[in-house]
Amino acid sequence: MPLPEWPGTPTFASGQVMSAQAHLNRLSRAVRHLLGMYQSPRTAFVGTRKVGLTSSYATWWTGAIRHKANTLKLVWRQYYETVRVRVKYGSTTVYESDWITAVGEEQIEETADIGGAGLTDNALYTVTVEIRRQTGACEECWFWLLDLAETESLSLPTLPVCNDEDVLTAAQWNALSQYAEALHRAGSGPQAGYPAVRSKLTTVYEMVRGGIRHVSNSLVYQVWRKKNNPGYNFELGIEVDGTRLITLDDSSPPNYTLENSGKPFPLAELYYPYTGTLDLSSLGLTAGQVYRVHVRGDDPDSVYEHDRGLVDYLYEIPDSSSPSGWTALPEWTHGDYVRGSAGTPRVKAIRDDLAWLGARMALYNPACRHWYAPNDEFPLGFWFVRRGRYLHYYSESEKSPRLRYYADGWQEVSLPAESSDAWRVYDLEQLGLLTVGRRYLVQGCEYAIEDFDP
Amino acid sequence: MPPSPLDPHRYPQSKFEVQWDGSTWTDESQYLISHSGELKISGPGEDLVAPGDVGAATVLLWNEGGRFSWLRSDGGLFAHIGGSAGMYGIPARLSVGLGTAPGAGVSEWHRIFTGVIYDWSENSRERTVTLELRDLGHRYVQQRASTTIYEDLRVDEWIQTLATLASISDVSLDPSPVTVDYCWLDDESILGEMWEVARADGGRCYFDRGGTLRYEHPSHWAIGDHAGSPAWTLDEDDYQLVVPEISVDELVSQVRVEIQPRAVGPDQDLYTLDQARVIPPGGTAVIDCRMSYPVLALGTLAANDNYEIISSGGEDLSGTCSMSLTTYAQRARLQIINSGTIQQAYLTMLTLHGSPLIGGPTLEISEDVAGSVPYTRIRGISGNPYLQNEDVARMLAQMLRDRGARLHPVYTLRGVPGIPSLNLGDRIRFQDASAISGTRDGFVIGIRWTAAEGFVQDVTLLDAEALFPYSNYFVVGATALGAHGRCWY
Repeated sequence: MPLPEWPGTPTFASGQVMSAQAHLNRLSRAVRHLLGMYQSPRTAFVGTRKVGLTSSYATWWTGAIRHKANTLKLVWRQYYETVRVRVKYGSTTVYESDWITAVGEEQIEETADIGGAGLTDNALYTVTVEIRRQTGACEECWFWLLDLAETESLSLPTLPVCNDEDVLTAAQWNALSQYAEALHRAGSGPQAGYPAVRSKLTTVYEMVRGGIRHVSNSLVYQVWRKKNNPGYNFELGIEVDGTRLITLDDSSPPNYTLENSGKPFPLAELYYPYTGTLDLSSLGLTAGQVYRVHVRGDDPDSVYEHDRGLVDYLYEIPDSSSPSGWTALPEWTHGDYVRGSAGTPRVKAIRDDLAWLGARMALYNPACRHWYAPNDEFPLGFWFVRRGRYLHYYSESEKSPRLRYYADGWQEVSLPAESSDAWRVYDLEQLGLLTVGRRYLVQGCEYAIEDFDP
Repeated sequence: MPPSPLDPHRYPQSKFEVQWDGSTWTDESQYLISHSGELKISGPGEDLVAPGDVGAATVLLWNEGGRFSWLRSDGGLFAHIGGSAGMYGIPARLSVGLGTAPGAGVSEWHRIFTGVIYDWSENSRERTVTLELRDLGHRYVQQRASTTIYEDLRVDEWIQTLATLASISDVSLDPSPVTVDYCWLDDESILGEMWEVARADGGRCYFDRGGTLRYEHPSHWAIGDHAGSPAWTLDEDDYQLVVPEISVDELVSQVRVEIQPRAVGPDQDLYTLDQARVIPPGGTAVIDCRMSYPVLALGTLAANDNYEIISSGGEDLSGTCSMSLTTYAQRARLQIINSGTIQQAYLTMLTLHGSPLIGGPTLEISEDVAGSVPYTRIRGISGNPYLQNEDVARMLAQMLRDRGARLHPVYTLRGVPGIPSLNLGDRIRFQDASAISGTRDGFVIGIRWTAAEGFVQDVTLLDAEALFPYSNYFVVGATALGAHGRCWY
């Protein structure tokens, strides 16, 4: 199945006649393609809550990353305390913070240059985040990792103003294309699999604590509640930045879809599915902000039981309305004037949309949390919404991981496995029905990262 | 100061030069009796004149002392033309200049033809030799090559790449707005591919009168000097007859352009060895592997994974054999050197794999022409491998749609006083009160000349009227934004 291919950008040369199709419409299509990339589904980074510290480093979070850039960003919530955080790629320490003190509950954002760590581009590394206290121990202090990703500052050319009467040089026209190409590279980062989890044996079921780098105001979820909760009303809630957006309990009707109805997995008979889209617009989130997302189950009757709820996925999707500040780009046809800032179609609309994207897009290469769900624990595993072409996965087992997706019924393929620990890569183009935008699940491996690069 | 070509008191003189030794031009004008010839190109969007057929000339020479007799060992040029190929392929060129009086010198020569000797015949009784010349395209038309895959090249950039491959240094290429996603040669004619890629955006390629390889975008005549005043204005008494011709075949009701999209497919085996190959001790084997698809990059070769070299007894000899792989788009050349001194090596297994470029003629763009002809006439463009994306196909289809919406007469002006500096593509203004109201502009698409006592041309013109829907196209780097310049297709 063909991927929504990058249309490419035109090259301009002095003396060229300006083509509607090969120049302006191609550039317009590239800019629209970038908007789609920018708004592509963005799954939650699943962190962990660390409670209690000593003066020695203790592991806080483990995962993996495909090295792409030399700027590492960490975001976490910290409640008082003075701590130091260390990040290792394999056995190499790539970052160690200074002492960081929080006054009350604070969101800490740290940026580190890891260029000196001798990392290899596109190599896959395991990642360990460690944390320690300056002296002594605290049993009650807590920390919540919200995001861990590589990024890089974009080197973007200066955009021409594009007013009427301006005579743009070929270099200025090419700056529009180069700007779009730079954004395309930035938008082609890998995505980490979203680890679907189930509740554990406590009264407050901490199911997901994570963060999402905000793009749009629509948050898609699918969770499951156990059907039979005799004697008590098990509540499952989704919260963003401390605000409860939805509570699901015995009075909530399940949402059946083709994908989750019937018996998609062995446990399905025991659970109700709940799926939908939450509106974040009232929360005042700004683009690029990392917000907290929390899925928790509350058991008022203190009935201890495993597997009360499951969380399949949480990710943002584009809003149905045009984003604020974005100008719809028309197409040029033969004979249309090449207008600058007035009338329509006008080049300045392309220019302004590029600038809009340039203020928002950046490489976002999140680390994938370590997680293992055996093949038979469907629907647990790593969930993706397909964007790229290649799936990189790490398995410590000789047993083949499985990839499952719903397309006219549930499809399933076995992924190649090695007899020893190894990263493998799988070309998703082999799966004709697994189109871009379709959800899929990878099970039976420790890490899974999807990328545009093999 | 040379006289005007249209001045009745002008005296044409001709110069004929040949590069007998392949590097130095020898002036043979003293033996020149007469010459004639023809140059022709096509209009925008028309099928192109084939490479090597753009220009031809006939030169009549006085064969003094058997100078041009290739089989006479006492001939003056025997050292150069007495070989097994005779005069075939030797570069030659013709120039014409205008003097102010018979026998007066010429202050400015104009090249009217550059090419190579194609054929010749002797007339012993008249002591003359007739040389048949072809334009420079003839020299390269059979040249073939293979390349790797190039990505995202403009049409002119690909033509430049091909010209460099063919060692054609004298080029003049319009910057095309069209970019081709993937281009490559697979043992194909270099010139043929230049012509083919020019067709993909409706442009044209040809070797001009000076021997320069030209690529002209279809907008070439709609912008710059061509869009303005005519290069020459001819009165009715400057030529003998206007012969207008029309071709109703150019009228269409619909244009269809086939697209051959390309995409990188999943990694797969592209070549599998079908017969074991023997490499003697100290010997070398070269294997040309023709792959099932063109490939951007081949996977690495690993012994006992995708190739196996063993002795007749099954011993692994991969350590004593070195391999080097040269990859082109759709073929690879594998060289294996057996550095062992005793064992004969057998290549028993070889698999080349990689991500292939897949695709084919799977899409079609159609554009309807409103109200031009009363019944269905379809013009189809198919089989062009450079039409890989919808933008380019749409652009071509719309241009051909507008071109096919009306008739564009072609006029031949016979007996024009020869204009030595006349170029193919020049804009000429002329009139013929018996057939056309007022004056008319046309672009030169054919020049036929004869030079004996004088220098006379028949000039073929493509009617410029409504050839392009607008006269103010936007030119990058020159036109201001706003209501000043319009988009091409």
